[in-house]
Amino acid sequence: MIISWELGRKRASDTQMISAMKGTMSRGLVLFSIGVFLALVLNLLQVQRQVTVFPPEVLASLFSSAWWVPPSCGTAAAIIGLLYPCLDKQLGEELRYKREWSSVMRCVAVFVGINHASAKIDFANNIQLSVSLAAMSIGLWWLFDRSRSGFGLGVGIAVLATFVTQLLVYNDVYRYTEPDFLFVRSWLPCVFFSGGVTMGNIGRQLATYDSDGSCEARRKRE
Amino acid sequence: MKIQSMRDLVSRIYYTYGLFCASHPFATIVSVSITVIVTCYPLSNLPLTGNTPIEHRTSKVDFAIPSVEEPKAPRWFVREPAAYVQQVVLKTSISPWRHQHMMPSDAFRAPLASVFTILDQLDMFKTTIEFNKDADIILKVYKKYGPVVESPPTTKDLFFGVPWSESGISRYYIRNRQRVITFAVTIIMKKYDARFTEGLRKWMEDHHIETAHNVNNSEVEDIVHFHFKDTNYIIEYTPLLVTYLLLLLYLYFSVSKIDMVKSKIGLAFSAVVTVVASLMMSVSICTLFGMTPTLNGGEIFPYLVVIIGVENVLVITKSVVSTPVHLDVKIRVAQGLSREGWYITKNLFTELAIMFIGFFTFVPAIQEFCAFALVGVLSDYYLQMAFFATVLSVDIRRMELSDLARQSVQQAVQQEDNDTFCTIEPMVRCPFVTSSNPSMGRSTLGSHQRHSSADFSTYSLQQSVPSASACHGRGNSRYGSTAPKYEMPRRIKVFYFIAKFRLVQKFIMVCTVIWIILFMYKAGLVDKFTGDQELPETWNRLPGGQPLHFEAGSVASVDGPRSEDEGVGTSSPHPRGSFMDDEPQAGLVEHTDLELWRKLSPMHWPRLLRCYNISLTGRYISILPVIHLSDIIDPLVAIEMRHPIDKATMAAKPAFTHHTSYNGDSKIAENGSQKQHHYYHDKFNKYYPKSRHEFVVTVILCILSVIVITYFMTMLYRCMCSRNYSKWRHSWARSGRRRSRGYFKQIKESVPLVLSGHTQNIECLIGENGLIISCCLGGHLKIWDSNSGQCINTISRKRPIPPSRRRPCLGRNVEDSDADLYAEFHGGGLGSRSSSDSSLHESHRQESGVSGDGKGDGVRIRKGRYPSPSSYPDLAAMWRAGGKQKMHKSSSRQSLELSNLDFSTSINTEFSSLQPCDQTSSEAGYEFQRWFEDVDEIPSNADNSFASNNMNDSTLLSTSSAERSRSWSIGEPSGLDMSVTEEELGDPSTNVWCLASLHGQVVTGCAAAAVVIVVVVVVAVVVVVAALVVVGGAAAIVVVVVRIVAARLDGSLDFLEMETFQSPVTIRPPSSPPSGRQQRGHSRNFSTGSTESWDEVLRCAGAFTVRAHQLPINAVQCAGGRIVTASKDHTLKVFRLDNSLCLYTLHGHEGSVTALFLDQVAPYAAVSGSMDGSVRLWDLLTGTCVHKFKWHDASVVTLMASPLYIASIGLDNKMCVYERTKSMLLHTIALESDCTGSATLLSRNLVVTGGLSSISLWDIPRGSLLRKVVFSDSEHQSFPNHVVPVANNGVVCDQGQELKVVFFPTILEKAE
Repeated sequence: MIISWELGRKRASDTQMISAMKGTMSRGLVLFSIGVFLALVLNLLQVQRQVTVFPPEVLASLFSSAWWVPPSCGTAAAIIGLLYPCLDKQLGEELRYKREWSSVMRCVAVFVGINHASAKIDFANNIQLSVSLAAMSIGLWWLFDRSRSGFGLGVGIAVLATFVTQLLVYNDVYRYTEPDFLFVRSWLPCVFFSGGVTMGNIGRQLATYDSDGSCEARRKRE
Repeated sequence: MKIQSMRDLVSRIYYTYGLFCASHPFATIVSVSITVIVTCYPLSNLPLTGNTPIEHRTSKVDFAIPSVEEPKAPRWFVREPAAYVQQVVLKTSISPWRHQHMMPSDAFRAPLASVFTILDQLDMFKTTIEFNKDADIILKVYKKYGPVVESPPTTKDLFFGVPWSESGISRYYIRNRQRVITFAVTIIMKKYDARFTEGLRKWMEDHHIETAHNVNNSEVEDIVHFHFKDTNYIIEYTPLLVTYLLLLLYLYFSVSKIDMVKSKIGLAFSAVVTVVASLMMSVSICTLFGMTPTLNGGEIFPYLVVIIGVENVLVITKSVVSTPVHLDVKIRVAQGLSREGWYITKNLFTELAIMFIGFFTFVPAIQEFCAFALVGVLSDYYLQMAFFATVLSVDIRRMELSDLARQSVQQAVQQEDNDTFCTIEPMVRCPFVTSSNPSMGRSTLGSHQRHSSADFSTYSLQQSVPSASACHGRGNSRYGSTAPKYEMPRRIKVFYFIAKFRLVQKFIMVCTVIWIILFMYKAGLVDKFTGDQELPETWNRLPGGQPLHFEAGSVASVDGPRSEDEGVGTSSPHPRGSFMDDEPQAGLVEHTDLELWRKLSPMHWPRLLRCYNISLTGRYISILPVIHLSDIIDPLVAIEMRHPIDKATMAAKPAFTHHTSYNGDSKIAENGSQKQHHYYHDKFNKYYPKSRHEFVVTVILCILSVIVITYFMTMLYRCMCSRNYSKWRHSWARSGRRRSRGYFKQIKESVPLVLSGHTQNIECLIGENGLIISCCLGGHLKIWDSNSGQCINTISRKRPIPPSRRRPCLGRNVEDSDADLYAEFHGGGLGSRSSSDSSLHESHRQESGVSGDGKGDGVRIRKGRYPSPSSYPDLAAMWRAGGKQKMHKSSSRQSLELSNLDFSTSINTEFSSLQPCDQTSSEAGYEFQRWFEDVDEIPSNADNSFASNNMNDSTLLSTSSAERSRSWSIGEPSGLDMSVTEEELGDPSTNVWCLASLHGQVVTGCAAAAVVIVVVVVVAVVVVVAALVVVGGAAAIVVVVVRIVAARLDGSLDFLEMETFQSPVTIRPPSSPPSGRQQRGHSRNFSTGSTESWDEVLRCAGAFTVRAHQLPINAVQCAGGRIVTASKDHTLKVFRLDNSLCLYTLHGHEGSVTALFLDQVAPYAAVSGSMDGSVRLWDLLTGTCVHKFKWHDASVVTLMASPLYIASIGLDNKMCVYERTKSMLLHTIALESDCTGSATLLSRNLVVTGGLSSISLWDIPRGSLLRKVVFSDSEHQSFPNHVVPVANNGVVCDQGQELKVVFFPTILEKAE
């Protein structure tokens, strides 16, 4: 009797792991698709600035140049979205702040709004732009995610992303149609910070579903 | 603590507000809607969202096309513009204006024609012929050339090139006055040459001489460029779509959190409406304050909604629905709001602070956004409180009780912090009486207290069940029964709603009001009040003259009463010396705004150029400084240019010359009769106010008339259509003459039906369901039909079967232990005796022994330890002999056999054990002997209507509840005995002391030993199962559904429960011999002679015996789950029916309580009368005495109570009527002397009393005798002992051996 019980337990843990893996995979997939989608949409926003100058070629250029941008954004989103709940579990702070889908939607909307603002508003100079955007990003973090881990992770992502972009541009892999790279550099970190926070939010929300699901499965088996 | 006190203050404010807004929901919602609509009105002037062109100015001097993008210039300012726009604005008018010579259309024609001169001057040839042929030029100007609904700029805007309000052209021109016409000629050039434009300007200025005075064209030095953005739809709209999608998802997820409300969708919709309306209000308020929105509204709208959020709405909802459900809606809303008030206010200020911070970014777009958001947050807060809270209260109020019942379960879970709050008092009481209908029973639970959970038990008292009467024969009266809930379909609800609020009538009223207003307006009242003022407009300066009258020529197509006084103007041209006739007033054609094109619609240029197939998207245009020209046109020229039709109409007028002198006719004021008429164009309608004065007067008149008419209508409505109409009309009748009605009601009596058949005097009488059940002294039960007077059935009960004859039942009592049964089976019940045996029992047991009545049955007869049955044979013997015999301890079997058990009933009972009585634990000693001594005396009192009263104080009988009885069966079926044999006359064995009936079962309480249950079937035959129960005579019986409460002489109460089991039928062959015992299965009763065969086993189980009083119980009644006993020991006791617990003992009477009556409905009062003539009113819920009256001088014999009145009859031959609602004694009526006090309540207002060989019908409220029915055909006169209501309006009373049934129908008689 005891042996069978042990085996049963082992099998239970195995299946549990498999289901956990499955959950993670599905979450990752969802996050990836969201990341790709948002990258495309936000690119459109950015493109609008250039439309006035080069009207007809925009659409073509949109899809031809830098085809790898959306997928990479997607993978980054997936990684961030999976990282946040893991970090939560590691650090032990189970944050129960506004864990609902409505606030997640709100967060995404505000993120898109920040991008919109950066695209459409004519700032007097770059410093003003970066200050405003930074203020908005921090406001986003404070409204929707008040955890220090989130903040830290977001800042890290911003720095990393700016660094990577810098590398890419210096190595001529990606060419900006914008002649003013400084201008781009002023809004890039903020956008990545808020993007990181948003993706983290989505990831956390999905993770609660997953953990609930696995709990249920475990209970059912027992 | 400061914070705490502030929180409390905030809570109180919200509480007060919550009460207010929940009390006046509709008023609040209406006012909020009006506010929103009024605030959003400026929005209508806003252009629809679109991309406004971006502007850039450069100087005219040294203007060069930028080939390369300059640092300061916007991005798009490269290369050539799509077009250069050169406008030539001409402002003309006809001067001097003489309206007696001119017509209205003159004002337009000539000025507009000057465009052609310009065009000529521009070397473009346009035909002027068609223009001159056009009879109605203005209409042509306004004609639509494009789609039906054109947004500005319309074609006419494109033609004229100036903002329409500046052009001076109006569509409906009635007044014959001078007008200033402005228009522009727009030149589109592809190249810009500064010299060319300069030369053009100079040349045109030279040709229009007036220009020099009126404008300086060199003022403007700038060229303005406008850029029109390209809209690539995909790129433009995809992010927008995504944003809106996110917004939708957000709203969906938010409102899906709402629950526990009646209509989720309704609340979700109102939440969305709240946010959207608040945003609209914010935009319009911002516009009002001068902020022109440069942001694209459609783009930023989702962000605004997301930032403002619907969280507050959800918080309010959740907080309100988690208040206890039993409270009134107002209080729920108030509590919910006050709980979350602090949080909401904190949130509000936080958001305001954040928005304020956004102002400091000094980016104009962000500042504008923050301004919108700020105002939006404020208006959203206002709308949440005013609109959403009210809607929530309306929604909660609509919740039905079923929803509430569902919620009350959930309530129990959420009661954590409810009790921590103390009572909150509202700060201000609302001065207006609340208009909401009081909720049914819930609002009575304390006004502002918080209750954790409602105790519904007080509301869930059992509804009425007709209580069985005591032996006085009170009728069944159902005073209330729960009607089944009827769910109306929705359309009927709609109709009821329309009818209830009289919507149709109100609509007609509104229409009538509007009609009357229009009527009065048309009737010219307005004209009358309008002054004789002239328009205060710029007049040409005439040489000291006032305009002459305009003779009413044939041209005036004046429409009826609408004559206007265009008389002498109050404008007095101040003479300014001598002028030339033609000198125009300076300033008439002066250009004041040198950049008039700014007021044009932003879409003006793209549309204009699109007409020429030039697209401006993505390109820019440059607007050169405008050349302004002014011109004054001579009236002669205008007259010359008239259309032939117009010429004809004006032919009657004197010709115009410049030299006509115009001496003012100052006699105008004196000639009041000479009215000056206006020239009317046929087409124009009269709704056009001619002057500001007229407009003001119109408005005031309208308001006044509306007020007056509304007042009258309201008065009329209140009189005619209100719900109090009938009362109001009746007040007419009451105050004055009595109106004769067509019909009046009358109560008549019927000839009494005589039901005879009893051989002895009738002892008990009850009526049920159209049947009359009577029992005579001989113990025969007769069942009569009240309508026909036929005796349906007779049941003569002679005696019950002696116990030794009884068979054990098939299903044995479960409490029979195996050992006992075993012992019994193997003989000898000796081993199975209880500890508390008395000597009596033992002796009985020995005697009766195991009867071993194996008459072919093979079943054992178990001996019961029951004293009464075991002593039965003695009884039988004794009675047989018909004489008084002392009961002996011995019984003889012979006597048993002698007793011809001639039963018509088969009795089967299983009498399961009794519970030990909690009152007395006396030993089972049973003084049976003495008891039966008294029995002999009973039959001699033939006329004991109040048997219990006259009963001797019998011995104390102890209950034998300590023992458990075996289950044994009683009796065997024998044939139905329809005859009454002589020898049973005077047989006191089956003295029935009281009767009670319920649903076809009649329970008789007998002297002898039992409560006998008789099942009566109306149609056919049969019947009966009689159940023998217990010991001792039941003095009063109450049957409640399945329970029987028997009050015994000794003051004990027995609670029995009847169980009816259906068992499969064995249909007996109808040819069973009626006589002789037949041994048969004992657990059946048979039905002979009936087509339907059912088998019922009635069992009496679960009897409790409670020692209620030690003195005899005079009356027992049941109401609302309570049994009330009135006994000789001056008290009443209230017991619970289900578990026979004594709830209260009502003290207060000072004599034996002789009469009792219970209310079957709320207020659940009991009325009791005692021997000393006092009547007390008790409240059964609390057990206290509410009133005490002393009406009679002798003992109170009968009490009757209806919801409105109490009537009592005493032995002093008086009947007192007392009105309960007013708490006053209405009447004291003297009855016939020596009446026995038998009376009954026939309906709410009628009482029937029995008199000497007669019965009388009294009207209680008036205290008058309505009818008296004398029984003239009886040989001896006696007072009826029982008067019992039967059917709806009839009574039956006993007269000796006969029954008399009298009906009192109410008939509508036609008035003479």
